[in-house]
Amino acid sequence: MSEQDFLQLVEANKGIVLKIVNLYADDAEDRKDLHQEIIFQCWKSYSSFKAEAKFSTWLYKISLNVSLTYLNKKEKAARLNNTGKPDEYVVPAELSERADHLYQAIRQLNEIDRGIIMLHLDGYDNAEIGEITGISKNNTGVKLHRIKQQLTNILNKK
Amino acid sequence: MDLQQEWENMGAEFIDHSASYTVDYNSIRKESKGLFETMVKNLYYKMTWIRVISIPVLIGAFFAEAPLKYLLLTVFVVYEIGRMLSIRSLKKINTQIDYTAITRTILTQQIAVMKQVLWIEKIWGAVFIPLAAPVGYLASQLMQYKNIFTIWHQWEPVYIITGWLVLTATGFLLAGWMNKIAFGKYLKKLNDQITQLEE
Repeated sequence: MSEQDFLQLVEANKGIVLKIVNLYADDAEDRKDLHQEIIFQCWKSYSSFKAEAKFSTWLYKISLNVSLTYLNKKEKAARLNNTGKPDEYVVPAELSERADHLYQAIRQLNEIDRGIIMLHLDGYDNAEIGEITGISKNNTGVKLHRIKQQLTNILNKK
Repeated sequence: MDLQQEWENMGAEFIDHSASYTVDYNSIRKESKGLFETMVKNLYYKMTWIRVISIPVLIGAFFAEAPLKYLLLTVFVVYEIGRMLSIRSLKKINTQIDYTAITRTILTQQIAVMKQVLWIEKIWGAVFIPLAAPVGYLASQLMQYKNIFTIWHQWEPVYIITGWLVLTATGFLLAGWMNKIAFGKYLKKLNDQITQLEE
Protein backbone atom coordinates (compact mmCIF):
# COMPACT_ATOMS: atom_id res chain seq x y z
CA MET A 1 0.00 0.00 0.00
CA SER A 2 1.23 3.47 -0.84
CA GLU A 3 2.06 6.50 1.27
CA GLN A 4 -1.08 8.14 -0.01
CA ASP A 5 -3.28 5.23 1.14
CA PHE A 6 -1.64 5.41 4.54
CA LEU A 7 -2.13 9.17 4.89
CA GLN A 8 -5.77 8.85 3.83
CA LEU A 9 -6.39 6.13 6.41
CA VAL A 10 -4.75 8.20 9.16
CA GLU A 11 -6.76 11.25 8.14
CA ALA A 12 -9.99 9.24 8.26
CA ASN A 13 -9.11 8.05 11.78
CA LYS A 14 -7.47 11.21 13.07
CA GLY A 15 -9.89 11.45 16.01
CA ILE A 16 -8.13 8.50 17.67
CA VAL A 17 -4.69 10.10 17.51
CA LEU A 18 -6.01 13.50 18.58
CA LYS A 19 -7.70 12.11 21.70
CA ILE A 20 -4.60 10.17 22.73
CA VAL A 21 -2.23 13.06 22.03
CA ASN A 22 -4.36 15.50 24.02
CA LEU A 23 -4.75 13.15 26.96
CA TYR A 24 -1.09 12.13 27.22
CA ALA A 25 0.96 15.17 26.27
CA ASP A 26 1.17 18.15 28.62
CA ASP A 27 1.14 21.24 26.42
CA ALA A 28 0.65 22.40 22.83
CA GLU A 29 4.29 21.84 21.83
CA ASP A 30 4.41 18.36 23.35
CA ARG A 31 1.11 17.46 21.69
CA LYS A 32 2.52 18.32 18.28
CA ASP A 33 5.72 16.37 18.98
CA LEU A 34 3.80 13.34 20.19
CA HIS A 35 1.44 13.56 17.20
CA GLN A 36 4.44 13.62 14.89
CA GLU A 37 6.05 10.67 16.68
CA ILE A 38 2.85 8.60 16.42
CA ILE A 39 2.46 9.25 12.69
CA PHE A 40 6.15 8.44 12.14
CA GLN A 41 5.99 5.16 14.11
CA CYS A 42 2.73 4.15 12.41
CA TRP A 43 4.31 4.66 9.00
CA LYS A 44 7.36 2.67 10.09
CA SER A 45 5.12 -0.23 11.12
CA TYR A 46 2.71 0.11 8.21
CA SER A 47 4.32 -2.72 6.21
CA SER A 48 3.28 -5.13 8.99
CA PHE A 49 -0.37 -4.01 8.87
CA LYS A 50 -2.60 -6.79 7.61
CA ALA A 51 -5.46 -5.64 5.42
CA GLU A 52 -7.92 -7.99 7.13
CA ALA A 53 -7.31 -6.25 10.46
CA LYS A 54 -9.18 -3.10 11.44
CA PHE A 55 -7.02 -0.04 10.77
CA SER A 56 -8.55 1.91 13.67
CA THR A 57 -7.59 -0.81 16.19
CA TRP A 58 -4.07 -1.02 14.77
CA LEU A 59 -3.74 2.77 14.92
CA TYR A 60 -5.10 2.85 18.47
CA LYS A 61 -2.59 0.24 19.60
CA ILE A 62 0.43 2.03 18.16
CA SER A 63 -0.74 5.47 19.30
CA LEU A 64 -1.26 4.24 22.84
CA ASN A 65 2.05 2.38 22.98
CA VAL A 66 4.01 5.33 21.60
CA SER A 67 2.32 7.69 24.07
CA LEU A 68 3.04 5.45 27.05
CA THR A 69 6.74 5.24 26.24
CA TYR A 70 7.04 8.89 25.19
CA LEU A 71 8.72 11.37 27.50
CA ASN A 72 7.11 14.80 27.69
CA LYS A 73 9.34 17.87 27.69
CA LYS A 74 8.59 18.51 31.36
CA GLU A 75 9.46 14.91 32.16
CA LYS A 76 12.67 15.34 30.19
CA ALA A 77 13.50 18.45 32.24
CA ALA A 78 12.66 16.68 35.48
CA ARG A 79 14.81 13.77 34.33
CA LEU A 80 17.88 15.92 33.93
CA ASN A 81 17.70 18.59 36.61
CA ASN A 82 14.96 17.57 39.02
CA THR A 83 13.27 20.95 38.67
CA GLY A 84 10.38 20.12 36.35
CA LYS A 85 7.05 19.05 37.74
CA PRO A 86 5.86 16.21 35.51
CA ASP A 87 2.33 16.25 36.95
CA GLU A 88 1.57 19.69 35.60
CA TYR A 89 -0.23 19.99 32.29
CA VAL A 90 -1.99 22.63 30.22
CA VAL A 91 -5.63 21.99 29.28
CA PRO A 92 -6.16 22.44 25.52
CA ALA A 93 -7.40 26.02 25.20
CA GLU A 94 -10.12 25.17 22.70
CA LEU A 95 -12.13 22.90 25.02
CA SER A 96 -15.58 23.91 26.20
CA GLU A 97 -16.31 23.95 29.93
CA ARG A 98 -18.04 20.55 29.81
CA ALA A 99 -15.26 18.89 27.87
CA ASP A 100 -12.68 20.53 30.13
CA HIS A 101 -14.44 18.92 33.10
CA LEU A 102 -14.08 15.41 31.64
CA TYR A 103 -10.57 16.11 30.36
CA GLN A 104 -9.30 17.08 33.81
CA ALA A 105 -10.98 14.06 35.38
CA ILE A 106 -9.35 11.63 32.94
CA ARG A 107 -5.98 13.32 33.38
CA GLN A 108 -6.11 12.46 37.07
CA LEU A 109 -6.03 8.74 36.25
CA ASN A 110 -2.70 6.99 35.92
CA GLU A 111 -1.39 6.48 32.38
CA ILE A 112 -2.48 2.85 32.01
CA ASP A 113 -5.97 3.47 33.44
CA ARG A 114 -6.29 6.44 31.10
CA GLY A 115 -5.64 4.17 28.11
CA ILE A 116 -8.07 1.52 29.33
CA ILE A 117 -10.95 3.95 29.84
CA MET A 118 -10.27 5.55 26.45
CA LEU A 119 -10.46 2.19 24.72
CA HIS A 120 -13.63 1.33 26.60
CA LEU A 121 -15.33 4.64 25.79
CA ASP A 122 -14.36 4.19 22.15
CA GLY A 123 -16.29 0.92 22.05
CA TYR A 124 -13.65 -1.77 22.59
CA ASP A 125 -14.82 -4.71 24.69
CA ASN A 126 -12.82 -6.25 27.53
CA ALA A 127 -11.30 -8.97 25.32
CA GLU A 128 -10.10 -6.40 22.77
CA ILE A 129 -8.67 -4.17 25.50
CA GLY A 130 -6.87 -7.22 26.86
CA GLU A 131 -5.43 -8.00 23.43
CA ILE A 132 -4.03 -4.49 23.13
CA THR A 133 -2.65 -4.08 26.63
CA GLY A 134 -1.80 -7.63 27.68
CA ILE A 135 -4.22 -7.63 30.65
CA SER A 136 -6.50 -10.66 31.02
CA LYS A 137 -10.18 -10.23 30.10
CA ASN A 138 -11.31 -10.70 33.71
CA ASN A 139 -8.74 -8.30 35.08
CA THR A 140 -9.77 -5.73 32.46
CA GLY A 141 -13.34 -5.99 33.73
CA VAL A 142 -12.23 -5.47 37.33
CA LYS A 143 -10.00 -2.58 36.36
CA LEU A 144 -12.73 -0.92 34.30
CA HIS A 145 -15.17 -1.11 37.18
CA ARG A 146 -12.63 0.56 39.48
CA ILE A 147 -11.66 3.21 36.91
CA LYS A 148 -15.30 4.14 36.25
CA GLN A 149 -15.92 4.47 39.97
CA GLN A 150 -12.83 6.63 40.34
CA LEU A 151 -13.87 8.78 37.40
CA THR A 152 -17.42 9.20 38.73
CA ASN A 153 -16.04 10.24 42.11
CA ILE A 154 -13.75 12.84 40.54
CA LEU A 155 -16.55 14.20 38.34
CA ASN A 156 -19.02 14.36 41.22
CA LYS A 157 -16.56 16.28 43.38
CA LYS A 158 -16.35 19.07 40.81
CA MET B 1 -23.57 12.74 33.62
CA ASP B 2 -23.55 10.50 30.56
CA LEU B 3 -19.87 9.57 30.34
CA GLN B 4 -20.16 8.12 26.85
CA GLN B 5 -21.87 11.21 25.47
CA GLU B 6 -19.39 13.55 27.13
CA TRP B 7 -16.51 11.51 25.72
CA GLU B 8 -17.89 11.76 22.19
CA ASN B 9 -18.43 15.50 22.58
CA MET B 10 -14.85 15.96 23.77
CA GLY B 11 -13.54 13.89 20.85
CA ALA B 12 -15.54 16.04 18.42
CA GLU B 13 -14.08 19.20 19.97
CA PHE B 14 -10.56 17.86 19.46
CA ILE B 15 -11.31 17.20 15.79
CA ASP B 16 -12.91 20.65 15.33
CA HIS B 17 -9.70 22.31 16.54
CA SER B 18 -7.17 20.04 14.88
CA ALA B 19 -6.02 22.40 12.12
CA SER B 20 -2.50 22.67 13.57
CA TYR B 21 -1.93 18.89 13.43
CA THR B 22 -0.79 18.00 9.95
CA VAL B 23 -0.54 14.53 8.47
CA ASP B 24 1.38 14.76 5.23
CA TYR B 25 4.39 13.34 3.40
CA ASN B 26 6.76 15.39 5.56
CA SER B 27 5.41 13.97 8.79
CA ILE B 28 6.35 10.43 7.79
CA ARG B 29 9.85 11.37 6.71
CA LYS B 30 11.01 13.12 9.88
CA GLU B 31 13.22 11.38 12.42
CA SER B 32 12.01 9.88 15.67
CA LYS B 33 12.41 12.09 18.75
CA GLY B 34 11.73 9.29 21.22
CA LEU B 35 14.13 9.02 24.15
CA PHE B 36 14.98 5.39 23.43
CA GLU B 37 15.80 6.00 19.76
CA THR B 38 17.86 9.05 20.75
CA MET B 39 19.77 7.02 23.35
CA VAL B 40 20.76 4.32 20.84
CA LYS B 41 21.70 6.94 18.26
CA ASN B 42 23.87 8.75 20.82
CA LEU B 43 25.72 5.58 21.68
CA TYR B 44 26.60 5.09 18.01
CA TYR B 45 27.83 8.71 17.94
CA LYS B 46 30.04 7.93 20.94
CA MET B 47 31.55 5.01 19.02
CA THR B 48 32.36 7.44 16.21
CA TRP B 49 34.04 9.74 18.76
CA ILE B 50 36.18 6.86 20.00
CA ARG B 51 37.48 6.58 16.43
CA VAL B 52 38.10 10.35 16.37
CA ILE B 53 40.20 9.97 19.54
CA SER B 54 42.02 6.79 18.55
CA ILE B 55 43.16 7.91 15.08
CA PRO B 56 45.41 10.76 16.40
CA VAL B 57 46.85 8.23 18.88
CA LEU B 58 47.77 5.99 15.94
CA ILE B 59 49.25 8.89 14.01
CA GLY B 60 51.23 9.85 17.12
CA ALA B 61 52.54 6.26 17.34
CA PHE B 62 54.01 6.51 13.82
CA PHE B 63 56.06 9.53 14.76
CA ALA B 64 57.04 8.52 18.29
CA GLU B 65 60.09 6.53 19.28
CA ALA B 66 60.00 3.29 21.23
CA PRO B 67 58.79 2.68 23.96
CA LEU B 68 56.25 5.54 23.59
CA LYS B 69 55.43 4.14 20.14
CA TYR B 70 54.40 0.79 21.69
CA LEU B 71 52.36 2.48 24.40
CA LEU B 72 50.41 4.52 21.84
CA LEU B 73 49.92 1.48 19.60
CA THR B 74 48.61 -0.49 22.59
CA VAL B 75 46.18 2.31 23.47
CA PHE B 76 44.98 2.42 19.86
CA VAL B 77 44.45 -1.35 19.75
CA VAL B 78 42.63 -1.41 23.12
CA TYR B 79 40.32 1.46 22.07
CA GLU B 80 39.58 -0.16 18.73
CA ILE B 81 38.91 -3.58 20.28
CA GLY B 82 36.64 -1.94 22.86
CA ARG B 83 34.84 -0.04 20.12
CA MET B 84 34.44 -3.14 17.98
CA LEU B 85 33.10 -5.21 20.89
CA SER B 86 30.64 -2.45 21.85
CA ILE B 87 29.30 -2.12 18.31
CA ARG B 88 29.00 -5.91 18.10
CA SER B 89 27.06 -5.98 21.39
CA LEU B 90 24.86 -3.12 20.22
CA LYS B 91 24.08 -4.88 16.97
CA LYS B 92 23.07 -8.02 18.86
CA ILE B 93 20.50 -6.04 20.83
CA ASN B 94 17.19 -5.63 19.07
CA THR B 95 16.80 -1.87 19.30
CA GLN B 96 13.76 -1.72 17.03
CA ILE B 97 10.64 -1.32 19.13
CA ASP B 98 7.64 -3.10 17.70
CA TYR B 99 4.84 -0.72 18.65
CA THR B 100 2.26 -3.14 17.25
CA ALA B 101 3.02 -5.59 20.08
CA ILE B 102 0.95 -5.66 23.25
CA THR B 103 1.68 -2.89 25.76
CA ARG B 104 3.08 -5.18 28.44
CA THR B 105 5.57 -6.71 25.98
CA ILE B 106 6.74 -3.31 24.76
CA LEU B 107 7.31 -2.00 28.28
CA THR B 108 9.18 -5.14 29.37
CA GLN B 109 11.26 -5.27 26.19
CA GLN B 110 12.14 -1.60 26.37
CA ILE B 111 13.32 -1.85 29.98
CA ALA B 112 15.46 -4.90 29.14
CA VAL B 113 17.03 -3.29 26.07
CA MET B 114 17.69 0.00 27.86
CA LYS B 115 19.46 -1.84 30.66
CA GLN B 116 21.65 -3.66 28.11
CA VAL B 117 22.54 -0.41 26.34
CA LEU B 118 23.26 1.34 29.65
CA TRP B 119 25.47 -1.57 30.69
CA ILE B 120 27.64 -1.00 27.60
CA GLU B 121 27.88 2.68 28.58
CA LYS B 122 28.85 1.71 32.12
CA ILE B 123 31.61 -0.60 30.91
CA TRP B 124 33.02 2.23 28.79
CA GLY B 125 33.08 4.40 31.89
CA ALA B 126 34.76 1.68 33.94
CA VAL B 127 37.44 0.85 31.38
CA PHE B 128 38.26 4.04 29.58
CA ILE B 129 38.22 6.69 32.31
CA PRO B 130 40.80 4.77 34.42
CA LEU B 131 42.82 4.01 31.30
CA ALA B 132 43.00 7.53 29.91
CA ALA B 133 44.60 9.31 32.88
CA PRO B 134 47.46 6.84 33.66
CA VAL B 135 48.23 6.36 29.97
CA GLY B 136 48.39 10.13 29.46
CA TYR B 137 50.72 10.49 32.43
CA LEU B 138 52.90 7.56 31.33
CA ALA B 139 53.15 8.98 27.81
CA SER B 140 54.34 12.36 29.14
CA GLN B 141 56.93 10.59 31.33
CA LEU B 142 58.13 8.50 28.38
CA MET B 143 58.63 11.62 26.32
CA GLN B 144 60.90 12.90 29.07
CA TYR B 145 62.82 9.74 30.15
CA LYS B 146 62.53 7.54 27.00
CA ASN B 147 62.81 4.44 29.18
CA ILE B 148 60.01 2.55 30.90
CA PHE B 149 62.32 1.05 33.57
CA THR B 150 63.56 4.46 34.67
CA ILE B 151 59.98 5.56 35.17
CA TRP B 152 59.05 2.30 36.89
CA HIS B 153 61.81 2.70 39.44
CA GLN B 154 60.63 6.22 40.25
CA TRP B 155 57.08 5.07 41.00
CA GLU B 156 55.82 3.46 44.17
CA PRO B 157 53.78 0.37 43.19
CA VAL B 158 51.42 0.83 46.16
CA TYR B 159 50.52 4.35 45.00
CA ILE B 160 50.10 3.19 41.42
CA ILE B 161 47.76 0.35 42.32
CA THR B 162 45.81 2.48 44.79
CA GLY B 163 45.49 5.28 42.26
CA TRP B 164 44.38 2.88 39.59
CA LEU B 165 41.78 1.26 41.83
CA VAL B 166 40.40 4.64 42.87
CA LEU B 167 40.13 5.71 39.23
CA THR B 168 38.43 2.43 38.24
CA ALA B 169 35.90 2.68 41.06
CA THR B 170 35.31 6.37 40.29
CA GLY B 171 34.80 5.61 36.59
CA PHE B 172 32.36 2.82 37.35
CA LEU B 173 30.40 4.87 39.90
CA LEU B 174 30.42 7.97 37.71
CA ALA B 175 29.08 6.05 34.70
CA GLY B 176 26.35 4.45 36.84
CA TRP B 177 25.45 7.79 38.41
CA MET B 178 25.24 9.52 35.04
CA ASN B 179 23.06 6.74 33.66
CA LYS B 180 20.81 7.07 36.68
CA ILE B 181 20.46 10.83 36.23
CA ALA B 182 19.82 10.51 32.51
CA PHE B 183 17.59 7.45 32.39
CA GLY B 184 16.59 6.50 35.97
CA LYS B 185 13.30 8.39 35.88
CA TYR B 186 12.40 7.03 32.47
CA LEU B 187 13.06 3.46 33.62
CA LYS B 188 10.98 4.17 36.72
CA LYS B 189 8.14 5.45 34.53
CA LEU B 190 8.18 2.23 32.47
CA ASN B 191 8.36 0.08 35.62
CA ASP B 192 5.46 2.03 37.17
CA GLN B 193 3.38 1.36 34.08
CA ILE B 194 4.03 -2.38 34.35
CA THR B 195 2.91 -2.20 37.98
CA GLN B 196 -0.20 -0.28 36.90
CA LEU B 197 -0.99 -3.02 34.39
CA GLU B 198 -0.73 -5.64 37.12
CA GLU B 199 -2.65 -3.79 39.84
